Amino acid sequence: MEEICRPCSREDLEEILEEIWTTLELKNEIPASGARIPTAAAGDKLEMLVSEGLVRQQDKDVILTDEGFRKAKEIIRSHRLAERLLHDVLDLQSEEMERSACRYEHMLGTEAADSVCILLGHPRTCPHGKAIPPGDCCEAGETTLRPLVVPLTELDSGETATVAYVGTRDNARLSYLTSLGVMTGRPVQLVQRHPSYIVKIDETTVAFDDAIAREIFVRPAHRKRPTSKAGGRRFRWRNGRG
Amino acid sequence: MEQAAKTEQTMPPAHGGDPQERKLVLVGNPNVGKSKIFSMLTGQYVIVSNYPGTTVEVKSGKATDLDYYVVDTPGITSVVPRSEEERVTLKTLLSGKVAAVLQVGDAQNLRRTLLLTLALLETDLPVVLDLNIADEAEKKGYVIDTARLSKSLGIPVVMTVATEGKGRRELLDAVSRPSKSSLRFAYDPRIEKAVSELAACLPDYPVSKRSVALTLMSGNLSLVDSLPGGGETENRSIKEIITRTQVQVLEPLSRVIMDARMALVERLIRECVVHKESMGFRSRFAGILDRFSTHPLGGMVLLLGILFVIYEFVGVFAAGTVVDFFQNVIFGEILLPPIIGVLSRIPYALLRDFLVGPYGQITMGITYAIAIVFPTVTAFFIVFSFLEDTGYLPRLEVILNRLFSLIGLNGKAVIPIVLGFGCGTMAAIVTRILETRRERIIATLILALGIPCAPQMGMILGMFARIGFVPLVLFFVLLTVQLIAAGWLASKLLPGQTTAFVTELPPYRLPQLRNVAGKTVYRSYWFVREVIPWFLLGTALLFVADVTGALPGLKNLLSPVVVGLLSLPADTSEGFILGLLRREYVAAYFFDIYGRGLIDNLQAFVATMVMTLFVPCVANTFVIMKERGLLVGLAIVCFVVVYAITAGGILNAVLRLLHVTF
Repeated sequence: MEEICRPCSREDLEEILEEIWTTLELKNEIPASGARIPTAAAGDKLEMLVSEGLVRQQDKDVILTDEGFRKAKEIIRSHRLAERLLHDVLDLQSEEMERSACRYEHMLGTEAADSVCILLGHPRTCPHGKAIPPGDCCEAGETTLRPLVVPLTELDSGETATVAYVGTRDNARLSYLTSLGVMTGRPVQLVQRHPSYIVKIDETTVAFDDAIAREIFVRPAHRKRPTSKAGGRRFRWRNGRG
Repeated sequence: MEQAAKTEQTMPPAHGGDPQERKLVLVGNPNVGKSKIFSMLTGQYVIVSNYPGTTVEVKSGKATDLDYYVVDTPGITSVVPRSEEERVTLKTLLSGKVAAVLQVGDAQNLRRTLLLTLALLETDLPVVLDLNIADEAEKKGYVIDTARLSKSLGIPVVMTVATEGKGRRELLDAVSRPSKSSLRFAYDPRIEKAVSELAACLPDYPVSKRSVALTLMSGNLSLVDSLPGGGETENRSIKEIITRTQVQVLEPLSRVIMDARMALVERLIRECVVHKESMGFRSRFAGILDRFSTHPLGGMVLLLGILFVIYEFVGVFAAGTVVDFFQNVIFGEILLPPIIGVLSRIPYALLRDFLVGPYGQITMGITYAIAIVFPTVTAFFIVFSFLEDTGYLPRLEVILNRLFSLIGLNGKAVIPIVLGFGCGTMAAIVTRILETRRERIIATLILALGIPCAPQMGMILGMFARIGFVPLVLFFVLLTVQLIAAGWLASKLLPGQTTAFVTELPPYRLPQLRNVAGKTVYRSYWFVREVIPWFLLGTALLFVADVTGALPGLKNLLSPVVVGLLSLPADTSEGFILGLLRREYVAAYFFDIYGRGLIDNLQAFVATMVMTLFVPCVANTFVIMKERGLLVGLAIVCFVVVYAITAGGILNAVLRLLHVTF
């Protein structure tokens, strides 16, 4: 059977949300926003959950909020997708798989989880047969994986991104691009793709062709997926705790 | 502060000797206004434009208010040179006698500017940093604490608006007291180890060995060979050290070095720059124009629109209306009759004919140059100078990159080719901005073969203003197809690959009337000074040939080609002979005889094609040989002559076969 991960201090809230979800599942309830939660599941962290807006107290009941539901769904999704990945692709056995999945669930953001989901072909259940909550990528039926770091050629016109690295070993070209401002960590905006690529970096506008664009790897600022908003909020929540 | 500068001037020079000993070298990223600062310091006029690569040669002059010999250099993006003209800048720094370096930077692009500053500081030369284009930076909301930046860098930092002359006094003051920076920063220990190892192999330079070592590690290994003064054994050990370090570090060395500099730059920017809300400086119009001019379709439409305006202004207005006025009214009615009246009293027939005969200095030489070519060329220079200052030319690179890749060039080559429409000689020099020899040869070939220079273009447009617009379009389509075919063939024959295209697009700027007018006057003056002697010489040669009877013989000799192949009157061979001296001369010649009804539309069409393709003028040929070497130069010239005649013959035959008469 699926184990609940041992809580470690930083990820406490995520662990409790995970526990709430599985408890509801065990009671054969379909977890949803507004579901009544057994007080025991919240344990001694009830106050913290309330202050984070993840649950609210209504009379004597503890109710899962929209935010709490969404968070819980995300963490369960990440955990079970990680299990699938470790089990199906990396062929890890039960115990090792569990240990790793417990770590991965906190590391996989919404976007990374979606990428894993697409990679695995939108699996419905985890290796233990439990349901994997569908993500936006499942609804959109996406079949091609879009990695988090992509060559500039993959960006759409108008999209902004951060330069991840310039993948050339040509020292002279590297020096030149760096001097133009194309360097790790700088935000870029792709202005157009045809007939040549044009990007803006600070107050510099640079034009180049395919050969160069393929060597510049970037982290898109926000994907044009419906998940983008959720991803942003998750990030903020984590920051707040950090 | 003015006072300080003056005192410095009256004091005996620190190093003694003539002022050439104390060089102030202007260095900076492309298109930041180095040439304008040069003008400011020396009072000399230099062409300034709004595109990277305006300056491809080192210019120097005595500073007016300082004890310096100021040297303007082509812009460099980093200390690792990419093309010949960037190499020139580095050579200047390595040449010695550099009293100080004045780095000119764009205040809006401080990151890039400082990245270069750090590299310059490592040379151990005294450096002064001038942040130019301060007005645009201010409008975009950048507030720069120059005092603090100056303290952190350990060198004087000033801000200027060179186009308006703002900040001149502060600049003079700063330049008069350059100081060596005490700023030191360390790289990765493995890099540092390599630096000291490399220093042991390097010969002595006027700059620190540390900076040379770091530059070598930031570039490709081939850079080692282009280093002046290095012996073969030393170079081999230098390469060994670099390769060994590269194997240890794994990451490209230039990245490790750049990252270290960048970390410091980021810290400086955090400390010294505040970016407030922009004042919405970029006008909506500039934004729309920006998108439109690089749009695959919009850009083409805009380009055709611009070409049409040039046709109307240069061809129809200048070469038509204005030239008519000059030729018929000013020369025909006002100037020539009294002059001829006076001179025809000269008792010596030979002298009389020399001045006012059919091959007379005044009636042919001066009239061609001043009445026909001068107005046209001036009109072209006006349009050209205007376009240069808007920042449009680099956008053209974006539009034409794909087309240029067909002929083994990339978008960068647009600049020399477009400049070729101004003057082929100048353009042949500007091919230096291209990265490889192969690209420079192809670009030179295209320029020599079929890019009509301004006067020629003016004449072509003037002629077609009478023949018709459709034939003009046909003419340029045919010409373009030939150039692409020739370029394609050359790219297949020459070994090597097309290099990747990267270029910087300057912002659109509204051209300043003063600058456009200044450039036009400067270029027109250059034209008069440079070209009229050639016109007079050409006319004199024709005169001599005519008098001695050599001309008819020459015409007979060329008749099979001129008459047989091209179906032109036998007399026109003298036009082609003139063309060897100056391109615009042959153009003016055909313009003239077409105007007088001596050739019909079809003949004019064929003649225009041949003279466009025909051999470049003497000056151009010399420059080609100088830049590309005698052998390549000769090969290009021979090819062009044979090709022009063959193509003209085929064109003539096809048009006649199809009964096209226009």
